[in-house]
Amino acid sequence: MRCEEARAQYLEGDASEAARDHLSSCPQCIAHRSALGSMLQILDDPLLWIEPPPELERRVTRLIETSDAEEPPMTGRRRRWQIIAAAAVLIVAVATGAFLFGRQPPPDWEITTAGVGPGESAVAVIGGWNVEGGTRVVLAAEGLAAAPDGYTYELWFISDSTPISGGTFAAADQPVNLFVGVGRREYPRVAVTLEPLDGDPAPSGIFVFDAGA
Amino acid sequence: MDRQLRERFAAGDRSSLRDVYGEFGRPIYSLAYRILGDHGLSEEVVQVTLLNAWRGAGRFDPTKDMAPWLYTIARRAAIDIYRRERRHPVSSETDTDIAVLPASLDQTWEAWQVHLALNEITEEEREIVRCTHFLGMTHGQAAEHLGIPIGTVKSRSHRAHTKLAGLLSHLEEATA
Repeated sequence: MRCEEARAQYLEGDASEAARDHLSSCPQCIAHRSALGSMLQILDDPLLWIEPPPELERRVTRLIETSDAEEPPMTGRRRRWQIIAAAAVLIVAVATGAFLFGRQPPPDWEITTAGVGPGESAVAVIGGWNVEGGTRVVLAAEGLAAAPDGYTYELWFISDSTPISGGTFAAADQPVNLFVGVGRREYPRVAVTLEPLDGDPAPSGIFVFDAGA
Repeated sequence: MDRQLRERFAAGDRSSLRDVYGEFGRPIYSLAYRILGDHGLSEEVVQVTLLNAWRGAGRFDPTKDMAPWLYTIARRAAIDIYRRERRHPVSSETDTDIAVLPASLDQTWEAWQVHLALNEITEEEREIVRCTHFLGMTHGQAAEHLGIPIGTVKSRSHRAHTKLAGLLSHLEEATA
């Protein structure tokens, strides 16, 4: 018996003796037994079968139409031009030497990154200096609105799924100085999130910049 | 989902929304309900997900599969709403709970994949799978319920499960 046939019978809940023999003797099927069990459990789960209300489609369409009237969706082309324009402003500012790094020595690394999510019309230049005990970071952004009431921005260095906070800031209309107690060699991803002021130490998942991974 | 539809969506063609909703509306709703356990909030997740996807359509690469991209947006939307709901009423006790994510997150990716696999089988086959799994019917009961011969139920059921086993084999590889 083929693996697929035996697995199909198992999912059907009516495995023949031949299928059961195959599933208990085939090394591949033995290795997949728990995944197969999980699939069967999901098929039997009433949550899989719940239906959204029929009018939801119309509401979604209406919401998007209303949203389009206020803010048309950004096509790749339009967004690229917006990023180029914002980056040009930043690059000129950085080139003057006074905006981001002032009279400091050049940073050990520097990232220019376009925003995402609520920060999608923004662009940032993030520079870092490797210092004792961690990394000193300066972030300058163009087009990033001040954090709304009840929220703050927070910078993170991230390795795999481990985030290390570099501190919070409410606005980035001026370069922001931050410090992270680790280096980018071990924590290559640099991100900024919008955080509700709720005392939760973990990242909210609302990314405004996400770079360097 | 065919590439033409993905290209229309990425280009901001509003007529693509209906088809995208047709394919992903149910999986998103089910994913949200699995996390939030509330119909109203799940509807909100569907709206937020598709609105965010629409606004980010310019960033979507139409040569790639849309499902993982939408799954990420939907899961994030559901977690954000979960956290928002957990935050009220504000108290020191609930603040501690905010960092906790729902245990029901565990199987959301697998369930999402099963949903998409169900989209790939025919309506008649899906109805049989629904009868036997969700309603717990035997083949005989399903035949009576649907008004078709038991032989048809058996053959459709077997065909459906063979397709599902094939469509979900990658999931077996990933989770085994």
